Amino acid sequence: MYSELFSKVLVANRGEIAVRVQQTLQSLGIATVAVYSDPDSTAPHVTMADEAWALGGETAVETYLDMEKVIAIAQRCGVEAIHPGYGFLSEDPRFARACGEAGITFIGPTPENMEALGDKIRSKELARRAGVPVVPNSPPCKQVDAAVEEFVATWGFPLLVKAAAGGGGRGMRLVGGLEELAPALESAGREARAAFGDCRVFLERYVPRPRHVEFQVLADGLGNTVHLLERDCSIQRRYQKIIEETPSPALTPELRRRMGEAAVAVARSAGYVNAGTVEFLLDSENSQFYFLEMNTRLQVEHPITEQVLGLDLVEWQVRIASGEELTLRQEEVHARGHAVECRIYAEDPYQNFVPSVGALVRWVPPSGPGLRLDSGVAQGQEISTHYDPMLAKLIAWGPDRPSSMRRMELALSQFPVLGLVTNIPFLRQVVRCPRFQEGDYDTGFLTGDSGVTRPELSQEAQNLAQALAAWAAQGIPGPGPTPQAGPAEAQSNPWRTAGKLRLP
Amino acid sequence: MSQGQLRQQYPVSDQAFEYRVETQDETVRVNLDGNETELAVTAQGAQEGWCRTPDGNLHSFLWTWAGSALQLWVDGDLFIFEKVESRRQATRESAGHGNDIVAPMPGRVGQILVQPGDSVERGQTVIIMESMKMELEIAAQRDGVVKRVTVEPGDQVDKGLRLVELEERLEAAGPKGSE
Repeated sequence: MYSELFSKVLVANRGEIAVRVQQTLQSLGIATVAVYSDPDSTAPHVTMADEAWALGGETAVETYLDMEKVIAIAQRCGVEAIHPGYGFLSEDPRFARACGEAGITFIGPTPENMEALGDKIRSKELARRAGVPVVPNSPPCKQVDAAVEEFVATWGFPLLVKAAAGGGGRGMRLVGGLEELAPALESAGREARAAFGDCRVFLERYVPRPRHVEFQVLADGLGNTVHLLERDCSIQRRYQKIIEETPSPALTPELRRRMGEAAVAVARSAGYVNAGTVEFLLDSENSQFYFLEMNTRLQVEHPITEQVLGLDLVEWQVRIASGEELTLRQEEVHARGHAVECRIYAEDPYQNFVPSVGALVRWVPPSGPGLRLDSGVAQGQEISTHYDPMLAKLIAWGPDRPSSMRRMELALSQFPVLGLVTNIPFLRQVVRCPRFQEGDYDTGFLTGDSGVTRPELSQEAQNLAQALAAWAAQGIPGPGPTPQAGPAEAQSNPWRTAGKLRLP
Repeated sequence: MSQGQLRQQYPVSDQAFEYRVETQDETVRVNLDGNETELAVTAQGAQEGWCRTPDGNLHSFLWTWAGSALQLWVDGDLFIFEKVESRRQATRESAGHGNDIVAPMPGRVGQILVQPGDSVERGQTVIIMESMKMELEIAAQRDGVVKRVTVEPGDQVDKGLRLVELEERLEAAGPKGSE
C-alpha cells in the first residue's frame, strides 16, 4: 500500500501509545521508526516497528525526554514527521518548534497553541475571553503572600493548589485550612518541578464533587473545527483517571450541545490545529460547567471516542498534519452505542496502590465482541519503575451502557496476569458497584461514600484458591538448604506426578 | 498422596495451613487444616487448568512458581502462597519484622522526615520516596522511637530494603510487660 501522507514517521514515545500510533501509521502504509531506552529494547513498540533506534540510557530524562537525541535520530533515518504520543515531549512547545526547525512535521498542534493552552493560568484567561465560564483562580504563587491571602479571603477553604504546567494530578493538592496551605504550596511546587521542570503553582476554587467531562476536538487550521462529543472521566483515584466512559450518564442532549459549542469556541479562539481535548468541571447539583484546561495532545482515553464514532483519531491527526482538510462535519458526528475504558496499572489495590514491578510471567488478555485492548506490554516482559505504571487500557463497547458495562465486568474477570500485581480486581469492584452502574458518581466517588476502597474477596474464592494452591503444590520441594534444586518450571508441573485427572 | 504446609501471602497474609491432597481417578480430595473439599481438576497446557467445585461451577486457573512462592490466578483474582518447611518457620515469618520500615517498591529516597531519637506514631510519614514519577509517602506501621535511619536522600533502593529501624518506646514497654 502506498500513502500520499508521509512515507516514514518516527513515534517519540513508548508503551501502549507508541504501539497504538504505529498501528494506524502502518495501516496507512507509512513506515514507522521507534525509539527506545535500554530497559525497553525488546518492548512491543520496538519489535513492531519497521525501524528502531536506541536512545541510550535508562531514565525518561536520558531517553524519551531528550529532544536532541530524538531529533538527531529522526534526521538520520529521514522521517518526514514525528508523532509524540502523550506525555514526554508531546506538549512541549520547544520540541514542536525544534521539529519545525529541523524540517520535520510535528503531528500535533502548533508550538503557539501549546504555549497558550499548556499553561493553565493563560488558558483560563483565553477561555474567559471566548465567553466560556471558568473556575476562579489566583495568580502564580510560591508561598503565602498577599495575593494568596486575598484569594483565600474571597473564596475560603477548601481550595486546590495546582501546578501551572500540571497534568495527570501531579503537583495538585487539596487544602482544607490555612495551616495546610504553606506545606501544600511547597510540596506541590517540588512535585511540579520534578515532573514538569516548572515549579509555578496557583490556587483554584474547589468545586465540591464535580464531574470531569471533556470534549474531543479536531481542527484542521483551514477553518474547520468540530467536537467529537464527550468523555466522562469522573472515576479518579488521587486525581488520576482510571475509568472513562462515553456518552456521559450526566449529560442531557441540551447540555451536551452547549458544552460542545463551548469546547469549539475555546479551540477556535486559540487558533487550534489538530486533535485536542477541552476539559470541563460539571457541577452535578446544578449542571453548571466550567472550563478547566485544554490538553494539546491525544488523550489516554481517546479509544472510547473512536469506538462510539467509528473513526481513527490518530489517522485524523496524521491527515491534518499533512495538510489535508477536515472533511468531517459537526452534523455528521453521532455516537453509536456506549464505550467504557479501564486503565490497567501495575499497582497493588490491597496495599494503597503501591507500584508493582517484576516480570510479566503470564499476560492473557480477554477477547470477544466489542472488546479492545490497547497494550504496551508482552508476556515475559520486565516491568520497571522507570516509567508510568500503566500497562494497558481495556475498552468495551456495547449498543447501550448496560451491555458495555457487562462486557467490561466479564472481561476484567477473564484477564489473568501473573508475575505482577495489578489493579484489575479493583476496577472490577468499581464496575460492579451499583452506584457506578446507575451512573451516579462524581470525582469524589472513590474517596467518598461509595464504599469502594479495595477489592472484595469472598470466603469461597479464598477457600478455592487455597485448595488449588495445595493441588498445585504437589511434589514441589519446600525451601530447603539447596534452593537451586533446578529450574522452577521443571519441578512445578503437577502433571508429572499427579496422574490422570479429567472432568466428569 | 502429598502433604505439606502453605501460607497465604496475598492478597491477605495469613497463618500457615496444613494440606493433604489425594488423587483418585478423576477426583482430587483436598484437606485443608482438617476441612475436606472435593474438586475435579483438569489441565490445559503446562500451568493452567480448569476445576469443578462441588456446587457444579467451573473455574479456570493459572499458576506459576517463583522459588518457593506460588502465584495463582483463579476467577479474576491473584493469590500468592508460600510453601513452608516447618511450623517454626511458619510462625516466625508471620510475626513479621515489626521494627523495620522497608521500601514497599524500588525507587529513590527523597526527603527523610525523621532522625534517630524521634518518636513516631503509627501512620506518620517518615520518608518520601520517588518511584514511577510519583511521590510516595512511607509511613510507620506502628508507634515507636527511631533507632536509626539506614538510607540517605538520593539513594536508589530495592523493594524490601530497610529504610528506618524503630525500637519500642520506653514508657510503652512498662505496662505491656506487666500485663
